[in-house]
Amino acid sequence: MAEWELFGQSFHLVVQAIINGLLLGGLYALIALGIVVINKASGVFNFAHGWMMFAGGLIFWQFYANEPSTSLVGIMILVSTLLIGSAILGLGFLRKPAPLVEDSTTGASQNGDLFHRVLIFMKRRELDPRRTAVAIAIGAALWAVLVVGLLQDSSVIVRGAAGAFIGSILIGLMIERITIRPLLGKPLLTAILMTLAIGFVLQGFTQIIWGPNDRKIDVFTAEAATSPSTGSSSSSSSYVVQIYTEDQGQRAQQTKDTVGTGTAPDYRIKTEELLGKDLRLKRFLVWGFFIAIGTFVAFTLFFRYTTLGLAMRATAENQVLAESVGLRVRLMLAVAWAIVAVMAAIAGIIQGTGGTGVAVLVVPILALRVFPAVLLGGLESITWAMVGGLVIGVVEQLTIVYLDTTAAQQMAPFVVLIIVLLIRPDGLFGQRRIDRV
Amino acid sequence: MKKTAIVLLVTFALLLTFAGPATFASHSEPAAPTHVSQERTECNEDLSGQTVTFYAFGDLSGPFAFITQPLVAGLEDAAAYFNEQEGGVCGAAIEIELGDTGGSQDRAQEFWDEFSNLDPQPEVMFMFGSADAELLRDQIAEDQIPVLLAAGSELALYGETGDEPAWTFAIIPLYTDQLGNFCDYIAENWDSFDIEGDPVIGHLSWEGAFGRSSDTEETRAYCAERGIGYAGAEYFLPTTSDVSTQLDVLIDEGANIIYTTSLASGPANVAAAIAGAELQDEVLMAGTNWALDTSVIGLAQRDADGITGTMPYLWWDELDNRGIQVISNQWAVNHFIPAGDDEEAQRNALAIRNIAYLLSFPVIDAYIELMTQAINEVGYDNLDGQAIYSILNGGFDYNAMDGVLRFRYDENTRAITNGRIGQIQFLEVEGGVQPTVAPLNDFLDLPDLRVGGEDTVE
Repeated sequence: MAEWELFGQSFHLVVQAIINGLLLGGLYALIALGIVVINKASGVFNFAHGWMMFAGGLIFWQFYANEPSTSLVGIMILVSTLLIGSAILGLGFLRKPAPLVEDSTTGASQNGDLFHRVLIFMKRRELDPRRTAVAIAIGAALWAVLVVGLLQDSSVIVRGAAGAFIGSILIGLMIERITIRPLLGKPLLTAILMTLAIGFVLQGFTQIIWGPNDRKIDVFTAEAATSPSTGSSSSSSSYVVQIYTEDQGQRAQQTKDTVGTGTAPDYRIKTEELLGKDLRLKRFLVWGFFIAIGTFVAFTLFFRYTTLGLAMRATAENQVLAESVGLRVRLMLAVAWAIVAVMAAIAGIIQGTGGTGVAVLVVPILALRVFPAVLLGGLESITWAMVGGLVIGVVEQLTIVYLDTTAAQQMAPFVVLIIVLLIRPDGLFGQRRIDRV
Repeated sequence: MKKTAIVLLVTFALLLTFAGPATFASHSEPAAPTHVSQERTECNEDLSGQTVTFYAFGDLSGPFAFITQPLVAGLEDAAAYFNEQEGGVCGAAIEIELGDTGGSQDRAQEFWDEFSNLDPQPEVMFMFGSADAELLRDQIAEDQIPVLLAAGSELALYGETGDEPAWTFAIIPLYTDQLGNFCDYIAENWDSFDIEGDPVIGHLSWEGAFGRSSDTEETRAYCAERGIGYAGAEYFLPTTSDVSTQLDVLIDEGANIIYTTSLASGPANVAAAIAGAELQDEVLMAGTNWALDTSVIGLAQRDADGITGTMPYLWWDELDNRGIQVISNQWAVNHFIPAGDDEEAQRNALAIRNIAYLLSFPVIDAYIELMTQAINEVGYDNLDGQAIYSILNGGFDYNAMDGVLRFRYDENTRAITNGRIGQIQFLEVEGGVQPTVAPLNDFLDLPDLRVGGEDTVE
């Protein structure tokens, strides 16, 4: 079997390409999910998604690779408190409050004691006390994790994630409030063009704050590196430069920066006897894949079983109708943008842990590569955005094996897309809408 | 909800206020270095009190800003240094005028139109990108303004047939010549790399004119004649997330040298794929001069260890050279020392300490020499692009910054023609690790492998 060939290529190479494609497809799927969620919530195709990924990756790097200043930590804790507090209270604001009436069963009125006033508040908001208690508990736990993560020096990944999530939520909320909400009711094209503008603004902001240099998130690093040039083995250590100054002459100058050990070996599946070589799994893509699956499951459950998720689906289906039954459409939009900003950050962080780092040439443009995946699912299906991502990943990698020209490799996912759209103009699983006159 | 928007805006502004300053290092006045240009032609005129402007344009804020921002810093530091220490151009102070295309070729066209229509017209300009130079090739000749180019595009320099020397002069060797030089070295020293099998090159490069410029019929034939096999070429877009499959294809075809014509995240991506596959002992990673840079070291860390290729200049650590001493001093004083213990500022200073900053000093030095020779030839009042072109085309040979980079052009030569082999190494030194690009041999004349070049093999 080790010498089998499939259309002129070794069986091992083809299987390896499919595995690479599936893993890469996981990352594509995660990006596609973010674009689909925004489209479902607001009907807007978000061209700024790549730049949101880039910003999220850089914020993670800022907290991961640097000691955050006390003031910055303080601000982040305040913001996290504000956001989580708002989210918990927001559960009660999904609906507009019912009119105040005297409660004949409890006898409570607006002038009663605190307990009764809380009961009245919850009743007006149609809040289930048990669910509210659970939400508050989850929120408090999350807050504790964020605060501990931001303060604890040793858990830099948690610190980075906490910083990135809070920062990204803030970016998502700002985008929605300042640029998208004022366009509600305006032609969709205006909002879509607005997302293009947001992309440029984020590009400018990231360059002003972080400069033009690519940033490596060295999570998946080797424990020690053996140098091919000198043969010595070593671990992460201080970056030393030789410098010359006119007053002190030549000297070695230790810096605060460090030299990392390089990329950790890929995970391996022992297939040498069967395929001639072991199969390899890129570490950062494996993590990306499982995070994408986890996010997909979480979102499916969220949209299907939570009040907020159901309210968001209703809003996405018909904003006018949702508003007429008392749902707060604007709040739904804000929540959607905040969630998608976090998803974008996760994708940016995953790519940042790969070979390219958080590179301006790579991360923002990555979102454009998943457009075929998004469109395959008809822009609306979370499940098929996921499948689309995996399909595009595999098609892309197989074309690398079988087609010599890069143009063909880049074109292949779009050829698949064109074929699908010709057969089913609404995408494989897009909803065909019937307009009745 | 307006209140909410205001709260969000204020919070974000506060975040920017606290996070932002970490990225900006303060500057101070440079110390006083001493004279460096040993080969400078004596100027026959005194232009004290006047200014000359060095015009440059390219992608300063777009996708290649990581390499052009250090170039800008270097050009400004170099101009300041030469103005203060060597009296600029015949006493006239050098001013730097920059145009930012943001990576747009339309903007490149606009900047050319704007600068070339100035009165007086610039005598010479500096550009950064192969694609811009190819786009403007004919117009540059038409407007008769020579261009110094920080790229090695054969099309921009010699045209499609290889025998139409342009008004553009590259400050690095052609990528074909670099690969030829690499093959010369491998043919003689392959055993020293301790890699199994005869050498076989596989190209893993960026898609586009730059990435495809090394792998030509001429380089394949030249390397084959030296016993170096060819496994094929795989190209990837700079946006590619991971290149493991491309690497697997080349390894399957028998490659044990992976040669990349890309820069920054490109070589880093290739190096990470090699390290992930644990092939460091079975494969030699190599590339053009841009792969041997701190921008690659910063991203790839120790994955970059051992990357080998042609290096046509001295490196930062060759501090015995007076030119390198001056460049190191300018970097240290203007960018590094004021940073103190600020981690982020030091990291940014290290990012500036790259190939582009290094090259900007010999570029300004060569510009001064060119202007001086032209002024001596035709007088400052008659100085124009044609006068500069005559100097370059007539045989210009100048060891800029005491030999940091040797400019050598004539009527048939439009790129640097000498170089040596360098390798990224991580030296264990007291206090940590010193990443460096170590020379593996001495400077040699590179083979001429342009289409129809002297050293091409039938």
